[in-house]
Amino acid sequence: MAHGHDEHAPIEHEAHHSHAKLYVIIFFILLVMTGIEIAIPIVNETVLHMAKQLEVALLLALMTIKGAIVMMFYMHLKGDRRMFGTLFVFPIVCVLLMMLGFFALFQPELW
Amino acid sequence: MAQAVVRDIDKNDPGRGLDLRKLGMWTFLGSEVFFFGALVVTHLSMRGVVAPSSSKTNLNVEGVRELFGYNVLTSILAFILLTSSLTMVLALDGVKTNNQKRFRFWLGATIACGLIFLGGQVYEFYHIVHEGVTIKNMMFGSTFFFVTGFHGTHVAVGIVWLTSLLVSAIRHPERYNAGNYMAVELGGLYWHFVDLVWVLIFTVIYLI
Repeated sequence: MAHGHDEHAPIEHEAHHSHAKLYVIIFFILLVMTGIEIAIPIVNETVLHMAKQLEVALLLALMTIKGAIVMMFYMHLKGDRRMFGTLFVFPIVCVLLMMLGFFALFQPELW
Repeated sequence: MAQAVVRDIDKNDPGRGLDLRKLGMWTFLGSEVFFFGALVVTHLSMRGVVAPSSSKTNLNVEGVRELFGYNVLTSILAFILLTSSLTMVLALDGVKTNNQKRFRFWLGATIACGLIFLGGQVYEFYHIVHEGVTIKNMMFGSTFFFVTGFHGTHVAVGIVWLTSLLVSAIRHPERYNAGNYMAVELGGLYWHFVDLVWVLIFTVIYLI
């Protein structure tokens, strides 16, 4: 991805290629995933009767995929410098591990 | 002489080719991940503690779960924040393609989505307090209001940030363009981060 230039850069720069269509497609994918997320607890309670652990695992997996899509396409980590991704993803991995640990410790019924 | 100076600058480039403003932003966002992570994990460990300390409410664990479980308002808020991420990235796309009109329109739409989200959150807080869960009377309420309140504060900061970009773009047309969009990109990164945090909060606090 190209980087922005200085504050006083001349304005006659070549325009970039628009990715608007891709962003709209990504939006609809995220929208559908959010809909599935909302539906999972309701459908599980009324129809599926899956184990709570499976429901939680599904929700966490969907959340992680949604987050990864936002980071890759909207925050442009896909195609940007790897260092930026490392700086951001490392804390996320730490937090997810910490969260799983706390689920195990304090919400044993979900484990 | 001039070439020697340029060579020296390149040699001493502290960012080694990285844009330091962007590097700083990503470092800041990484630290914010730890911050929100700690808050959410605290909520996870305290969410079972709903026994009122000075009780004006009869809520038990199940009652609180029902109150915070799936509801239409939080789903709408999630949709609005998701939409604001799309409008923000379209605003950046507009400035990168030198389309000032599109840039300003989508940036304005992002701000509007942020304001609607904040309004919805204020309404939700009012409703929850009315049901008897406050920041003081149970640990569940304390951690819930702390996490979502801090997220709301970040949304408010984002709105101020994006509004300043929009005012600047209106007052100085062509200030941001295909050759100078870093300020917009940094504002966008912050805004997408706020959306990302809501993805986490929505799943962990409202759905699980």
